[in-house]
Amino acid sequence: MTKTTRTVLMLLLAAAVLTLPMWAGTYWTHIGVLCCYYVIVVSSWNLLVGYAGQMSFAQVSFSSLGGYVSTLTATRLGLHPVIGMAFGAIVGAFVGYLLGILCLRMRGVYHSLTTLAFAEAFRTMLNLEYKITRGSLGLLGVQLFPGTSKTPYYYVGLLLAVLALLLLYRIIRSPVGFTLRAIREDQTAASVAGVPLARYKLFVFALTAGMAAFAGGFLSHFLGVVTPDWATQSAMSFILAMAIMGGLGTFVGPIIGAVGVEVLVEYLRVLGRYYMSFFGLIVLLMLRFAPGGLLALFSGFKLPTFLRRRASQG
Amino acid sequence: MSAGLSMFLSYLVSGVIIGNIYGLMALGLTIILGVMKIVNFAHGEFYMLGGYAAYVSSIKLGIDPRLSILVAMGVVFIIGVIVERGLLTPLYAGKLDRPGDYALLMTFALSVFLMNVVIPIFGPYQKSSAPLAEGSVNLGVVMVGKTRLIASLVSILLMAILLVALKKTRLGIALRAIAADRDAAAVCGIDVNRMNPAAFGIGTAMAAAAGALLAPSFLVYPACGTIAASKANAILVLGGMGSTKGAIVGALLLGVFEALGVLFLTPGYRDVYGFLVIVLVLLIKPTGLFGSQEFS
Amino acid sequence: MKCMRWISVLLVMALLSGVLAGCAPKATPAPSTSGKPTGEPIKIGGIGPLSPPGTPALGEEMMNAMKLRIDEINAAGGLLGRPVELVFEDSGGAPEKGTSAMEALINKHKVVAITGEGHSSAFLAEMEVAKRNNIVLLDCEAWSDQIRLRHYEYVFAIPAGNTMFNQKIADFVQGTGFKRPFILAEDTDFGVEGIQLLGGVFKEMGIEFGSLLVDRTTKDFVPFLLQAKEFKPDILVVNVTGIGSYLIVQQAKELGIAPSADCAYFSGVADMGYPELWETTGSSAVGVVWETAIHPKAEFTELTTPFVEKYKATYGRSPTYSGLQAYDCILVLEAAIRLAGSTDSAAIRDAMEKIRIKGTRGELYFPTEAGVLYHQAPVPLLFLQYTQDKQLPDKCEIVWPKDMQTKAYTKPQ
Repeated sequence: MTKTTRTVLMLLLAAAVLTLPMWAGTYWTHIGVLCCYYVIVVSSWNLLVGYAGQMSFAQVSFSSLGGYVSTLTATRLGLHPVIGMAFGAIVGAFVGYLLGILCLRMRGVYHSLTTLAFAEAFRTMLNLEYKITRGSLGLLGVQLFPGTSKTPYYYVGLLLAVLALLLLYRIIRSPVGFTLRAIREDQTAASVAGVPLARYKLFVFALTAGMAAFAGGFLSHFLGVVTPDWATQSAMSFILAMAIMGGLGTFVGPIIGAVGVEVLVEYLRVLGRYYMSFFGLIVLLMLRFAPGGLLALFSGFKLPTFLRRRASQG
Repeated sequence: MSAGLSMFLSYLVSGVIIGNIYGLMALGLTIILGVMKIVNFAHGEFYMLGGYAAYVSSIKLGIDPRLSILVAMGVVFIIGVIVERGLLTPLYAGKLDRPGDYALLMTFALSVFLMNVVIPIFGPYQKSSAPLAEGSVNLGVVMVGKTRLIASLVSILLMAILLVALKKTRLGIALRAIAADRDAAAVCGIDVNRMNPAAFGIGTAMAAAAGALLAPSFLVYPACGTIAASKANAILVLGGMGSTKGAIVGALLLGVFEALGVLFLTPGYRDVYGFLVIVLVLLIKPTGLFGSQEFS
Repeated sequence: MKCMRWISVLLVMALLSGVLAGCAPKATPAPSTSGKPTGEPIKIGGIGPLSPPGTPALGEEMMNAMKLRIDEINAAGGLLGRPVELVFEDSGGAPEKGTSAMEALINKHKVVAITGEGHSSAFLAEMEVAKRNNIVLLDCEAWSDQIRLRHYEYVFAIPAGNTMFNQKIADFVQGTGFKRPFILAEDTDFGVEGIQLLGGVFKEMGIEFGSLLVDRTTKDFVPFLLQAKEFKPDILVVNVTGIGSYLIVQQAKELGIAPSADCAYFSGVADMGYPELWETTGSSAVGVVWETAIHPKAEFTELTTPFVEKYKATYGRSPTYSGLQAYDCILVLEAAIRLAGSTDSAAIRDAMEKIRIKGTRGELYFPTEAGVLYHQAPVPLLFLQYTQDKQLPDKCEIVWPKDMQTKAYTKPQ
């Protein structure tokens, strides 16, 4: 493929994405909005896990936290949803920072168990604090735009996703990004080389939690409801599947994964009660036989990803 | 005896009776961790499979309920070995950059898969295996169903057998040797890689035993392993990872913490106290309560 | 960057599939065969829990019962000369998934009206989608008063509302002579509203009562039951759905609390009528009182028995009242579409307020007076008691209301 064809393809793609509400119909625009949400959540999780190597199962806790805080700000205080989203992101980042402090002391398995424990405790709290969260019923919220059209949501979602990706891209390409990768590869060596480990880890925890919370706030004002189901392990497994399928530890992989899995799931729904097990099977097989994700699979494993070494090394 | 104390004792007794069974599950987790150096995030789903196996064996096939527990252990042992061979071998193939993270992601994905794959097989309706006995026993502070009591005693027996087997049998000694030092064990002529499926099979069979023992009391349904797994994880951390005795002490401690929590805080959060305990213990002592990484 | 090539290829493939899906041709009309309705089918949307956290057993029963009526309509020549098709979407009993399912029904499948749902939480979110899109949504088995009190023009209800239901429980408790009820309710709108409403009625009646909200996802209810025991109740009112409903029966029996000679056990959920009851609770459920709207000794209309027989023959298990309600839901939508003479949403809505038809549980119509009975069809409720081990619901005694009683409440041994 020459450079020109590639450019043409990319332009075509950009045009298609930009005009989606005009040709794809309401339902696929709805899916498009969900894709934007997932792109932000998965890509930020990818920075935390794939680049900084800080395994976490709490990403969905932060997105639901953002959803709840934002919805409560809008319904209880009567503030505009946008303020709610911003506030949700701040609270999310703060709680992410706290979880980061907690995790600083832990290594390896203890670290992941703590994030899992946090996620489960948070979900239980959402279920039990009925007076604030309305328990397993979920909290009804405020729509960002009046009317039934999904088009404005789509463009706002797209804008947010692009901004989030630009931010992540800049971080990954900056010295901060290199330092994070150094921490992932060898924490002790990085520390010896003078990297202030704690500061970097807390930064990445807070940033990714804040981004997820912001996306969660947006989703809650799109769907008009936020429930504890967002914070379950099966919700987390979707984030995981998207990152793994695309290619954890690459920039483009999780984006393809998020959109691909969300669209795939819409088609798998016809399988009825078989669909989740079929989906689970795909993820298992991917992990087992192509742990680098689709990206690595198609590039002949030449690409270094989170789990898979460069072919020349392996 | 004051009302508060008698309430506390009744929570404690009923909690510890069930806690033992989670302890058995934690013991399985400990063995897998000790030998393979991974935490099995799908442990709760092996508990669930054990419950379903006991249901099929005791209700569908009419096998004696006590025997059905052994059947469940056997079936899940085989499934465990197949899972280990099929999905976890890349851990030692040396082609992966981060085997620890691979194991976490793999077992996490496995748990979601198993939870959903039983829905088309057994349907969404809950099942129960045949009760081990009818009626209840009055323990003074609280009435306890005979099925629960027997299940608890059986789990203590199984734990005892396992501990003795680890001490005395060739397989047990080999497993302990690998847990203590993998390379040294290999040098001594132990076929290290053949021990992985054994450890994973035994560990998951312990979870299956817990699932089969609790199936008549707590019913079996696709998501029934989630709470059990979280309790086993809490016990694992409480007891110190990789310590078999710690797993047993951890189970008792969790029972006490939960009873205290129910009494002084609220019963609603009971299933979360384990998590709070995990965090507190790790903050004070990042290697778990029984500190050493040893597998004794 | 060889990988870029693959990215491009993948993206283009994803794009193409999206285009194909977006521009998929409309379903072609079925070829006409003699005697069968022709033309593009009228699509009726069904919605309900087919997966956790909802109660899949409930969703399946609704879907099955709806299909029965849809098949009958098609066999009898269709609706407005066109065949009818049921499109059933899984709501998972959860608000978020429910709203997505609603979006799919309305925007993807273009259904003309929607019915179903068994979880108030999900329904409350779904009705917002119905309101935004001006499409008729008929509640099949969600009980919250909030549904009725919102007074949405396009939303109608077939099942008992919480107020109605709790008033009947209180009547039963008082009429049977219980003095110290204890309410165990799940942490959902159904449970929380129930405690408020039932507690309110008990207060008016001068009955002292205790109550506790329980986490319905837990498995060991012993701590909750021990707290209830402290109150020394003479009847335990348990409004917990799903698996918890069975676990509480079993654990209350094991602890010697209820059903016993000293304390009766009342369960306010349909789960008590499922065949899984005896399979999962052993003989613990002997003595349990529960409520339903279906019983051979109290046939409601001439439609009831044929439906029950047909359901049994088709699906191999007896329907509970949820099945009757789901069947009635399709009857109602069918009648409304016939009366409207078109599939226009506003016309169907107007017709809904005018129809007065016979269902499997009595006459069906939707009053328009404001309050908890707004758009609420009248509902009969029966209180049954299991008096023997492995007893089938059909063989239970009717213990309440007084005028339909076959036997007074009997204390279990």
